[in-house]
Amino acid sequence: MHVKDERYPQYILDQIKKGTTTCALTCSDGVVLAADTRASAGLFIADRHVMKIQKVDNHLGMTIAGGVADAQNLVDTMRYNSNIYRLSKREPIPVSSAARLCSNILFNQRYFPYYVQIIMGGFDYRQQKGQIYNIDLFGSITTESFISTGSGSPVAYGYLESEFREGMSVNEAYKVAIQAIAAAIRRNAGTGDSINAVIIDKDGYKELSKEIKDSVGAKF
Amino acid sequence: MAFQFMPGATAVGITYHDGVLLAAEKRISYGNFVVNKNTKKTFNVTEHVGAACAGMVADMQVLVRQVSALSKIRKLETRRNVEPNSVAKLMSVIMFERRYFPLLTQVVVGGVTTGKPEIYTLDPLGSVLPDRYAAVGTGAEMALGVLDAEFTENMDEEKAKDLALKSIKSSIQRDSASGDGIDLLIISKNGRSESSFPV
Repeated sequence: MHVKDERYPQYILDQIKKGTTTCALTCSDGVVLAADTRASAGLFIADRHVMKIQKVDNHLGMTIAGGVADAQNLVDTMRYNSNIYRLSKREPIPVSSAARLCSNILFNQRYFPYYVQIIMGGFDYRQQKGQIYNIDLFGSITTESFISTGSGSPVAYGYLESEFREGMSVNEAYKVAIQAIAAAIRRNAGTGDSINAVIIDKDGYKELSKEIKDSVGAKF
Repeated sequence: MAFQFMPGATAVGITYHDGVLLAAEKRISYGNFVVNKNTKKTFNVTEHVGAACAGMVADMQVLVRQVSALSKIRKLETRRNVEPNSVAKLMSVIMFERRYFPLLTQVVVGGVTTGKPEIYTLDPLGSVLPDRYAAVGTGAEMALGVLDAEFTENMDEEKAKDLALKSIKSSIQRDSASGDGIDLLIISKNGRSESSFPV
């Protein structure tokens, strides 16, 4: 949304322009992706249940933060390319390759960038382990054991730095991810409404149901 | 001259039991001058899908004409009615192609063909967000105040109509760029109807 909000100075609006918190955790047997569901245009909440975690392929997902139109088009392009790769090479696209492809698409638009901040996460077929990559709007790729993006990411990082342990399984990690987003909802105005979480492991892409998410007991 | 003043508006979309209801007010104002009090911001894209828009009137009229024509071709090719999600996606593609010089309009597009009634909101760059009810334009915040409080799932047509009129009346009272009457477009499994209401 490109509505100019004149009620507040720009440095405040900049806090919520990418009003979102997303996070991704690498686990011993896969990855967990989590995000809030608020879409904000300046200080206005335009949509309260946006799905910011998108399935690109059975073994690959991406979280989106930033401009919705740019992100949706990028997701569509990634889905198309992943499909073509799988059909022609007869194996699922490696996660690092997908991340590199995304990065190339973004860098091609270097002078008029797609306003997005992406986490690409999936279960790599060749290496048989989970991998996550942080891709910024110009296409730089970095990887870590856990990543968070969006306006609430400092809050989420605070929680993750203390609670994340290497070698957790996906069944332990999704609780940490959900609690991290809940912390960001409590302490960041651009983040809110509810939480979505996805597990990607050798069995594929699985969105967590409301019952499982509620059982974590995260308060916001 | 229009470009200097981004026209305000309010448009809402509500899904109800049998279909969708799209409503918009009828004012075009360039800054403080009211240019037109009888503008139609609700459009029939196909027989079963409609759109209500807010923003630059030229852009919304051109967009709807383009999508309407392309939908007619698609209907002839596939020999079935074009679904609301197809219309939304088509609009999205057209709008994103113009990313560097966007169509300055926000759209609520909705309809019902064989399945459930659906509405989608599109921003000027073409993002598509599905919802059960939506409001766009400068008066959206006021309209959503009413809709958030009173919307329920599977309303009947009378209740949905009252809710839509109430939410736009609310915007008209508190947004000076909205006013001069309300157009209502109802698309249901039984057919489609348009009506106008003064304020």
